[in-house]
Amino acid sequence: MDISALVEQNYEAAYRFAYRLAGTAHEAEDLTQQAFLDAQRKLDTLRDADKARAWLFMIVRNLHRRRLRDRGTHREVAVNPEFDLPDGNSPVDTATLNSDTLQQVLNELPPEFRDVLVLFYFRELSYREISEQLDVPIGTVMSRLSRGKQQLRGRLSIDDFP
Amino acid sequence: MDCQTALEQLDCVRPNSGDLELPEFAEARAHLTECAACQAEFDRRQQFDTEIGRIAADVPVPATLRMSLLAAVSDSVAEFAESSSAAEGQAAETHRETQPRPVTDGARSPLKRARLAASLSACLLIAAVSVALWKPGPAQLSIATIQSGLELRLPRVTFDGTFPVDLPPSWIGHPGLRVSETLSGLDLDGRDGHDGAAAYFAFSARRAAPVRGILVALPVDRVSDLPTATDFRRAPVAYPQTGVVSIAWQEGDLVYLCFVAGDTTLLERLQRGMTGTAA
Repeated sequence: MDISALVEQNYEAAYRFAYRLAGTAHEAEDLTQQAFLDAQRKLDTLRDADKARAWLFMIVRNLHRRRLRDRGTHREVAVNPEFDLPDGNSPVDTATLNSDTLQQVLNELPPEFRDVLVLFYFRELSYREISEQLDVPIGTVMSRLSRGKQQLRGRLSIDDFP
Repeated sequence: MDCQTALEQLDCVRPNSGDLELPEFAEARAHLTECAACQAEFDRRQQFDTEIGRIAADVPVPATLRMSLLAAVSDSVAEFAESSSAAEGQAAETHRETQPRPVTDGARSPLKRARLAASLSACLLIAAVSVALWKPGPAQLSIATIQSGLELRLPRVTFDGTFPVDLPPSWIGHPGLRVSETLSGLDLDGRDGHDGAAAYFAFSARRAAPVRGILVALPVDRVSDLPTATDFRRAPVAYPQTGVVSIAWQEGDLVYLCFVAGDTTLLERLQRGMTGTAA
């Protein structure tokens, strides 16, 4: 597989994944470009073309983690003047549940929760696959999934279960 | 198994996946058959997960992203090929690393690659298709037609060097400017040989988003409607196609066309940037 084909076949999915991880269009675009440049340098390590997307997503995620680590805990959050973000303790009206509200809520979650949720919802990975991707114990992934989804549901005001 | 534990485990079940049938969920699954409240809650959460999964993929992709990425890896391929001294080229339909341009005038030098300090932005793909550009007589090229009639994409054909090509003098030496090393050859009249040369460029000024585009060079003696502008920084902006802005100007023996996907502010930023001190 050559790099142009890798771009053509995966750039949209890679960008969307990067966006859900990074939270802003600018960071997502930067992350996506750097990921493809990294992928180009490592292309000879891709043994199975059928796994190109998963391989590329791993590059995206590792880049994102590295940037978060280098940046410390500070994280840029998208500012959308048209979106009146409620304070962190109040749930979001589910009637306004859309891509932006989802991203706003994801941005507020701890990175370790956000990573597993994005892999679960966006990449539709099983908890075992997430464990392999993140190199994290299965029990830890299950716990983060449960707690992360609990926070997601809480912020999106659907958690009524006593 | 209590309700809380069952539902926590079942949070790992992907909707519409068959995960629920996995052995590790057997106990939780059995609990659902015994607890109607948990079954209802599980169903509700699965519906929520389905909706979130749908929304998660609902991210608009920037229209210029594909072009930017292809340009970025194209530049990178050229750098890599040059640095690793790839000896063999590929067939004419694939990209080659650039070869030194023929120099026929002592005052000229081959297109150079300036260093880029920041990331890239908008880029225009140029598709080389055959367009009827010529007028009766020698094959003349129309700027207006090229700007407005041609859907452009940089072809994967290395420029054959039929005429000497340089960066516009007004572009040379700007620290924020980077031009791809690989020159693409443009066949604009459907005859043998390349009528134009094109390259990706990216210009980045401090604290501003980079401007990406494509630069085309044509021999002056082939152009029927020469642009009156002789200075890029003062050349008027044209709007030949929806979502595309372009500038045409003449410097020396070449006519240059600069294409940027986006609006006029990007080109104006480029023009202002080129007004800065060159090296």
